[in-house]
Amino acid sequence: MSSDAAVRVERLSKRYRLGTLRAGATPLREAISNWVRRRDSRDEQILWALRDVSFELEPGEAFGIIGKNGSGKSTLLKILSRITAPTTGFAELRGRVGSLLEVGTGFHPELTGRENVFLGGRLLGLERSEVRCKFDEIVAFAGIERHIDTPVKRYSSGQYTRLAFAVAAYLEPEILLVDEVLAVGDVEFQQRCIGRMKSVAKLGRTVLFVSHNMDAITALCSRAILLREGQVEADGPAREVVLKYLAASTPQHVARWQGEAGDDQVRLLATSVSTPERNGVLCTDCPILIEFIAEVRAPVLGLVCAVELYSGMEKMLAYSAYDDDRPPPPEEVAPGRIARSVLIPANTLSAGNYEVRFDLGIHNKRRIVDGAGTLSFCVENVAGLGRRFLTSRTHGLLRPAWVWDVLRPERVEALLGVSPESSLPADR
Amino acid sequence: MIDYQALRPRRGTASAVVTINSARKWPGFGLRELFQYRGLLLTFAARDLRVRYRQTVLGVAWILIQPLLVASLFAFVFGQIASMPREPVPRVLLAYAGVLGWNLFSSIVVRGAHSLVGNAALLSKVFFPRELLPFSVVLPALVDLAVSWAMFEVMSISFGVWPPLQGLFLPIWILVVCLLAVGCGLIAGALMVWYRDLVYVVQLAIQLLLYASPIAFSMNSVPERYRALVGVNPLSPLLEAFRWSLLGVGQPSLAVSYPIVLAVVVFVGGLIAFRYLERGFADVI
Repeated sequence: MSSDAAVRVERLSKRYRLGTLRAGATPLREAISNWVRRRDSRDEQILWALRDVSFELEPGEAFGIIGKNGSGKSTLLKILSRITAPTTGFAELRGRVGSLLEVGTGFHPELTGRENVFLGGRLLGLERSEVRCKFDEIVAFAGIERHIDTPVKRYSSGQYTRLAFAVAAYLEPEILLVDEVLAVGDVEFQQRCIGRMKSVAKLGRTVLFVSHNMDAITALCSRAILLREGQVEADGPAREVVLKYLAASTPQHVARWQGEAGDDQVRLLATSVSTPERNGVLCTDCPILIEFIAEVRAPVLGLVCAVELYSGMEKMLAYSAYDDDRPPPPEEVAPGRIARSVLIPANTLSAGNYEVRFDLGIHNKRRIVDGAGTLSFCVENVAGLGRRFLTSRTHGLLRPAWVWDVLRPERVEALLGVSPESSLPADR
Repeated sequence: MIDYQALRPRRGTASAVVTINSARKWPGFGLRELFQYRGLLLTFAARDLRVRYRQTVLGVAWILIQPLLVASLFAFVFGQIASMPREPVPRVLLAYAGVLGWNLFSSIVVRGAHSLVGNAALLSKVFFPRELLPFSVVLPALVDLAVSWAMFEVMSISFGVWPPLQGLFLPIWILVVCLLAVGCGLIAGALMVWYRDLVYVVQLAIQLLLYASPIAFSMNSVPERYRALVGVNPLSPLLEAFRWSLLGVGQPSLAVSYPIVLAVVVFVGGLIAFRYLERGFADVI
């Protein structure tokens, strides 16, 4: 246990009495009657939002907190930002804490953007002069130069979010707590936020980040904890924890269909999308296996077995058929079971949602199975290509492992058509 | 471009250690933190003032109109309708002086009581010493007082009553009223977070207190046998003291020590109660 930990959390627990959790304030009448009757605390339902959570963070560590809704992530950040007190346990934070628990925290709708920036600074315990130093950067990050003297109630939600994030991230907190702000805002904004938080962490400041966006967690955080029903279920390198969470929580990672579709000639019986690696979590850097089983009931001439891959937005990405490279004429398929698989190699798809449709039919005649057995699946990017520069799907639907190299001098010469007399050093 | 240099931690600034303990422990008065966040007090006050007059047509004129109308009405009711005994100064001035003190008290209590519930979004999302909200209403109330006081002096001089030397004591009475009112605001505000009934309690209490306070008449006009009863109201000696300092009427008595002691007790007690109650705010608001 080091004494210079930036954040030290020891056996933190928070208990809520159900019923008072979100019901707001109790009527006085009820409080009095409870007190008079000395209500037995046993008939109250108790919820432990957090239970015995402990961890320690070094300065400069970027720390992710993940878990399902209601697992205690936000409660943890609320305790650390001193908005609510823990029931038991203790925590210690070294340095000024900047927190962004919800977009537009502390903004007053009637005040202008400028006034709200200063108000935000005050809420972080800063002097006016300190805020003034950062003012231009904040406004530039938020991109609201023209509207800075407009009351924030007239801002679009995007402008509002950007300004709120900029205030929290630029006002030099030594510990930055961020709760799910990336859910709002466009992709470009999200990436700027992550970039900003990364640079905050690089400068020796500690970042605690709650998000449902696993991409963002693995991009930003070196370490993460997984909370489940208020308890720490896993604590370790962000990638491992994220994979554990994905494997446990998202059943669509093993997409499966079983049934009967088709006609008297051909019937589709089962389809599946899976991966042999990474505990079955579909990732960009592992192969994706598509399988299907069909039944041929009467001889078919020119049977087509194919899969169509769609991106989430109804755009067909690829079409692939069994025996596609075999020369015509078509052969006759005898009755019996046909089971086929097709493997999408690792590093082909980008992260995101896809859909695979199965095409069974007779060549040039008709499609027998159309739509049945369609599976949708989600590919995660937790390691590998596309992480360094955080190119999400805005940068293409595919992410193949194309081979990069440095040009040889002869080739450079040939392409430029002159001998390299440049004083610049050669590219290595 | 990001200015990485500026991001580097400034040298020489020792980073404060924040310790978070469970809700059961007495958190202390947190005076160091209050001092650290003192700037926020001004910001809150400035915000309230700005917001209050931003979309009003008459703006600051409201501060002048309200006490003038109330004082005139009081003077009419007590002087003409109730025909109370004549006072040594025009009754409208007497009433105005009383209204100045009363407005200071009631606006701090009422705004202070509502300051927490009214800033629910802030309380559930950001940390800052919560006392600052009930404290911050003092400044706008003092601004109101200053403006209407200036108006009062204009009026009083036009009636031929010059500000007496006793006016030097006025800051003391203002301080006592503020302490008493902030203490009440702290308790009412904290309780209101837990029990919304307090909205009505505060409303009723202020209304009753208004009628129980000698605003438009002096204690001398109160029949002898009721004087002790009216004196139970800590505002009675305070309003007398206000009038003594503003108009030079009446004689200050030892009775004024009662609100002074009470103000200190209520303020400190309110602060302690507040510190206990505030720790659960975010969970119930």
